[in-house]
Amino acid sequence: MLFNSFVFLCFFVVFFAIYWSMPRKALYWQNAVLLLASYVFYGWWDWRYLSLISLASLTSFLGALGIEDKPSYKKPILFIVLLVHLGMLAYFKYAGFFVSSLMLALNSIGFKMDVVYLQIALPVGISFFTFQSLSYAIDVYRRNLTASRSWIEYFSFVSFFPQLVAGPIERAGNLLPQIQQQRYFNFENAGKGLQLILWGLIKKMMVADVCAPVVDSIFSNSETASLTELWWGVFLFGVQIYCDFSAYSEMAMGLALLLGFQLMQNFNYPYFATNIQAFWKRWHISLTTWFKDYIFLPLGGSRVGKNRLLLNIVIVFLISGLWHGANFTFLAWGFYHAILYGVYIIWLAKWQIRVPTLFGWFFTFFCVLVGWVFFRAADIWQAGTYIEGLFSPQRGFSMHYVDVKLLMSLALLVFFEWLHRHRSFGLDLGSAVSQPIRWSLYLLLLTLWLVYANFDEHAFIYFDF
Amino acid sequence: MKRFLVKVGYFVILWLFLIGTSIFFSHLWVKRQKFTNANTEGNLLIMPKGNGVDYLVLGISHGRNLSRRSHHQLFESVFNATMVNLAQGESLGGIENQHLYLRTFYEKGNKTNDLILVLSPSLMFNADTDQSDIMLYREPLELSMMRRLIDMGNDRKWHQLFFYIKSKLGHHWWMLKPDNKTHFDGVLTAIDGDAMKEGFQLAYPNGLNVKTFQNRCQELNQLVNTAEANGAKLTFVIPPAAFGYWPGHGAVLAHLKRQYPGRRVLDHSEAVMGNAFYYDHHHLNTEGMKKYLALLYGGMVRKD
Repeated sequence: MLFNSFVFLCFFVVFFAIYWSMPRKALYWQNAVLLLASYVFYGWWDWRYLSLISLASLTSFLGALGIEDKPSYKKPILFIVLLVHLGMLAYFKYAGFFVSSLMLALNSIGFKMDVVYLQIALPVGISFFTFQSLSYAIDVYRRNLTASRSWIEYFSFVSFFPQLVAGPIERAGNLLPQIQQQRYFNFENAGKGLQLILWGLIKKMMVADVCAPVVDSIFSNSETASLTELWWGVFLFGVQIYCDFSAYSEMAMGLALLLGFQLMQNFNYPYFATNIQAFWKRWHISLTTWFKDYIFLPLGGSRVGKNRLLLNIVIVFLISGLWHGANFTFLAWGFYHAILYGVYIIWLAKWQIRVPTLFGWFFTFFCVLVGWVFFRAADIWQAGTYIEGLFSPQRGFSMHYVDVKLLMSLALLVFFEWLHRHRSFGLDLGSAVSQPIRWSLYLLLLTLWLVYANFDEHAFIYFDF
Repeated sequence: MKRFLVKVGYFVILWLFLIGTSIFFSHLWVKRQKFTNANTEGNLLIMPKGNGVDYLVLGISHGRNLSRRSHHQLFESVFNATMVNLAQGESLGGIENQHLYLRTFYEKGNKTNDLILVLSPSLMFNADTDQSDIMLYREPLELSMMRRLIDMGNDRKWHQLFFYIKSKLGHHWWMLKPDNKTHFDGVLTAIDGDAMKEGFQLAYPNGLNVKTFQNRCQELNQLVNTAEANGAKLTFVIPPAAFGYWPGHGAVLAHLKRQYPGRRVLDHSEAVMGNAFYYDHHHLNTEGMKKYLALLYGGMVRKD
C-alpha cells in the first residue's frame, strides 16, 4: 500500500476517523487501533511477512524485559536478540548475495561448480524495522532506556505504519514515550502534517517519478549515451533519489502529525551542503545517527589515531553500503564515501582549509553525484563504464532527454527548497504568510500536482532496502 | 478536530470549484475552434448528432490515415459519399476503444450504411492500447462518455476516467488546435530492419500471444454485434504496408473468414508496394493514399 495510492487514501481516512473517535483517556484502545492498522498496512504487501515483524518485535520486547529484570544474563540475552535480528536480515537480504559470491570466488580459484542464485523475496522495510527494534534492545542494555512493559505499546512502536517501510528509523527514546501517552488532536500540527504530505506528494509524483523514466532510459543505454546525457542521467538520479526518499520521510512525518506524533527529521536539504561531512549530517539523518551511535562510537569514534579513525570510517560506510543492498555496487558506493569522508575530516577539516562557499557546494555536489553512479548501476562493471563515460568528451554532447515538464518540476523543486532552506521542509511557509496567500499557493500546487504528477504508482526506491 | 475538518472541507470544495471552473473554460476555449474529421483525432469534437452517414471507419492509425489532412476529402470524393472516421492514431485505438466510440456514435442517434473496420493485424495481438490511461485525452468532457467508459468493464477504467477528467486541465488540451496541413509529402527512403523490429516490439508487446488473440477476438465479436444490430454492413480491411504482410496476418485473415462468413474481407497487405507511397513503414503518404483509395473503392464495389 503506497502513500501515493488511492487505496492508501481510503485506508487512512477510515483509520483516521476510527483513531480519533476513540474515547478520551482510552490509551489502550488508541494503541490497539494503531497496531491493528499498522499490521493491516504491512500485511497488505504480503501477510506472511507479518510473522517477521512480529518475531522481531517479540524478540526485542522479551529481550529488553530480560535484560532489565535479569541483569546477570543481559549479555547472552542481548546476543540472542542480535542473533535473531541480524539472522533475519542475513537470510532475507544477504544469503543470495553471499552464496553466489562465494561460489563465484571458488570457481575463480579452480573449484568447478554451478553457481546457485538463491531467489529469496526481500520483505519490504526489513532493514528499517530490524534496526529500529535492535536499537531499542541495545538502549535498554546500555540503560539509556527502561524496557516497555506493554506489548501493545511496543509492537505499535516497531510497526508504526507511517514510517514502517522506509523510515525515518525512529529511536525508542523519541517515539515510544509518545505511544505511551494519550494523544490529543492538535489543529496546528495537523495543518502542518497536511502541508508535509502535499510537499511529499509533489516531490515524489511531480519530480522523482517524472525523472525515473529518463534515468532508467539513460542508464540502460549508458554504453552509447553521450557525455551530456550521462551527466544529465546521474544528475536526474540524484534528484530522483532525494525527492523519492525525502518525500517518503516527509509524508511519514505528516501522517504522524495527523495522528499526534512527532517524528525526527530525516533530511535537511543535503544538496545545499558545502562539504561531505555536512552532507552526511543532512542526508538520511536517522540512519547516519544510528550508525554513529551503535557502530562508530563503540569502535572508538574519532578519539583514536588517524589510521584507526580512517578504518572506523571505512567500516561504517561499508556497512552502510551493505545495509542498502546486497550488491558490490553498494559496497563500492560506501567505500567511495568513506574515502571522501575520511579525507575530509582527517585532513581537510583539520587543516581548516577555507574554500569559497560556492566552490565547496559545487565540489560536494559533484562528488555526491559521481557516487550515485555506483548506487544506481546494475553492477560494478556498468558503474565503471558509466563513470569512465562521464569523463570522456569523445562521447559527444548530443541530448535527447529534456522536456518542458521535467524542467518545470525541477524549477519548482529548487525554488521552494532554496527559498525555505532554513526551515524544516520546502513548503514550510511559516506564520508570517497570510491565510489567503497560503491557501492560494496550496490550491495552485495541488492543481499542478493533479495535472502534471505521474500517477503510475511507482514504489519508493527505499522499499528495496 | 471540528475546526480542522471544516477547514479541510472548505479547502476541498474550493479546490473542486476551481477545477470545475477551469475545465468549463478550457472546454469553451477548445470548442470555439473549427474542428473537422480531417484536422483532429478528437472524435467527440466532430461527432455528428442524429445524422446518417454512408461510411463509418474504425481502426488504429491506418484507419485514421484515411481522414488525415486531405485524405478525408479524397475518400469522400472517390467514394462520392459521406464518411465519419473514428479510428485513433498514436497507439490509442484498441478494439475496446473503438467499440466505445461506436456505441457513442449510435447513442448520439447516428446511423451508417457501411462500417469499414481497418483491422491491422497488430490490433489482434495487442491488448495494451485499450489499457492506455490517456485514451481519451483529446476528447471534450461528456458525462455520457464517462458512463460508457465505466460500463466498458476495462481493468483500467477508473484510471482512464481519472485521466480523461484531469487531461482537461493540462496544456495539451488548452493548446489543442486543428491540424490544417493538407498533405503528407514525406517519402520512406528505405526499409529499415532495425526500425521495423523496434516498431513490431511496440505493436506486439507480447509477441503473437494466442491468449491475447483469443481475447481480442471476443472483443471484436462484441463490436461486430453492436454494428450489425444497428444495421451496418461490415467490411474488414487489412491495410497496406511498405513491408507487405504484418506478423500474424495469416491467423487474423483465417479468423475473419471463418468467423464472419458473408462479410467483406479485403486483404490489402500488398496492395500498394513501393517506398514512394509511404511516409513511414506502414502509413501511406498522400500520393499513396490516392492510389490506395481507388483500390479500396474498387474492392468494395467489386465485392458488391
